[in-house]
Amino acid sequence: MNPNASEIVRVSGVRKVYSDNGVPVDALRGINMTVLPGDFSVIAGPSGSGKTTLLNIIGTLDKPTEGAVYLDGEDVASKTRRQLADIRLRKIGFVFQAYNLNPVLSALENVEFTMMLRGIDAAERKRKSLAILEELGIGDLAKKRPNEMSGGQQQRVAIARAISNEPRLVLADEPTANLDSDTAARLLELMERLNHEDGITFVFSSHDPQVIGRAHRLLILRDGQIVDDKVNV
Amino acid sequence: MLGRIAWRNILRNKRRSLILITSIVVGVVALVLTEGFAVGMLHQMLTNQIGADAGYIQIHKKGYQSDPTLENSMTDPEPVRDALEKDSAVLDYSERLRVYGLISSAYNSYGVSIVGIVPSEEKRITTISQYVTKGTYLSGKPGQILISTSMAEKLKVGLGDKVVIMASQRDGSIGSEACRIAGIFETLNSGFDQSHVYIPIQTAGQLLNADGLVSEFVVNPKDPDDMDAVVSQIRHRIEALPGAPNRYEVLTYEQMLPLLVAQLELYKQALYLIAILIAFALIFGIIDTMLMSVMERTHEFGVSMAVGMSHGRIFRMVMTEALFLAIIGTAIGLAASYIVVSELSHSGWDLSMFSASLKSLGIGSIIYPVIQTSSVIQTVLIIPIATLLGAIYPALKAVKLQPVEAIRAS
Repeated sequence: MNPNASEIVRVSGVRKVYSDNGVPVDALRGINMTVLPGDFSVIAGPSGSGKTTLLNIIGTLDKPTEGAVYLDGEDVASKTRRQLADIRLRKIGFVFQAYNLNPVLSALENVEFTMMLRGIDAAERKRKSLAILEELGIGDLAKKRPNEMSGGQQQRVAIARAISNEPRLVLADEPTANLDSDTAARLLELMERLNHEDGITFVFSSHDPQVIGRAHRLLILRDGQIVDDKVNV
Repeated sequence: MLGRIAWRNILRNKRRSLILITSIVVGVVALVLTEGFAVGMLHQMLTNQIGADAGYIQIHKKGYQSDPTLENSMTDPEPVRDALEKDSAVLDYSERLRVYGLISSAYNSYGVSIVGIVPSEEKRITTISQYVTKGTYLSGKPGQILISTSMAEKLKVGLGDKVVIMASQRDGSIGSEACRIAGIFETLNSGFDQSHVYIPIQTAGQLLNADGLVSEFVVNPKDPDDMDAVVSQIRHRIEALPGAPNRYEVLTYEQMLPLLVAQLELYKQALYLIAILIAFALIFGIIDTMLMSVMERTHEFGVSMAVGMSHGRIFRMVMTEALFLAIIGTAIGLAASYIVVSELSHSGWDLSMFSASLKSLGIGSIIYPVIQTSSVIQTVLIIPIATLLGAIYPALKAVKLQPVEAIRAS
């Protein structure tokens, strides 16, 4: 297969089998999909349908049992752990359901963290991180640690961290699951704005109607298979 | 920034960090104190032996060290005496006539080293006069003798009693002298006490029918810390005497007491073993605690890997935490050791309950610890290295985590 170079992600025939106490369980069964630049896609489906597994495989955090994943046209199966870490650092931003900020770092430092990993010098990364926090409306939280912030504020910092390295793709796994509906709505507006104005590509996994309602493309996952793929919903 | 994160990770679980630092402090203190006391003890052993008998340097007729007989004693000691008088490196010297012989009382006889001394000179060179516990030190009057407490007990004699000393003369005949006990001494070395008696050198000359004969010159240099230069200077002067070279031997205490020096060397080797054992105990303590710290942060490591942190950086972060702990623990440990040793170096550690055993080793019952620069350097190297070695396994555990599984960990 010659994946299209303009595609950010191509998932081809991906199957994932877990062992549950020795019993093989099919989490994904032959997934084929693509992510294009500027997408604002949602992978929806009930719990256990394989949304998080698919997102983890796209994000190179997990490996498929069968099939291939291409990131910017490159098959990630041949990459070493170090190369995969570098791909995640430079090309992918993650937003997790539980925010997953580093508890010993302030909001600013959490955003700086990934820039530090890229080797950006201290003054430059501080300037950029502050600018991102300001853009996301949380500049005043720069010095606060995660335990001093609300869930919504933490998730905004997590988004700031995810976009800090100007990734090709942001993967957001149930980003609103722990938030009340108002906070979730404001957060989604923010991500939509980043998508519209900055051209950042988002792929969500969610069964939250608010998230699904804002999807430009909706992939319905059921029992490890994509049963529906709607564009411009 | 990795350093900042590592530092904050140390601060976030203060109790565990405190336990870890405490174990490092205990390791440092154990190492420094073990070495301090051992070195102090060895130092005392050596200085007691040097102080009581051997002195720092001795000058003999060539061959006396390997065959200490009258034939190998100096018949004309005057040139050596002159040379020592003129040598600027010499603080004091004394001359002795030493022979192996027999001491007898009405009850018993024992083989001893009979040391003929010039009492006034000997007093400046060795500490034997300070160990007189009963009676007086030799006044120089002929016919006096100093014997040890243990010898007095064995001979069943006391102050003022007469004993007879006997020794072979150069012609093979046996000489004997009756001496009156002027004083009884007790040094810190029970073995030495049982084998040495002191008489004036004139009495020794009469006993051996060898007036003016000298077996050894004992020399204390002005600067004992610079033995090599001092010995070289004295040797040079002695070698320049008429009839020299190859007439005299100039020996340092290390050459005169090879067994003791070898014993000290052996103890020093044993100290390395102790240091290694302490380091091992520390390594296992560090592994246990650091592993717990790493396992508790499995989720965080997973997230860090997800956002692109390489395994190398994760490894370095855990090792940096260990390094910080090692630096803090070593610094506190050294400070604590310094305080303890400073205090004990004045008052000493009273081990009177083991005084009999310590005396058999030639050590006093109070041990004064000594911190050597080499011990501090060794500690500063060994403890942080042991800490870092202990952190390798937990760091590798963190590195081997799979991001997905690690993120799932609560």
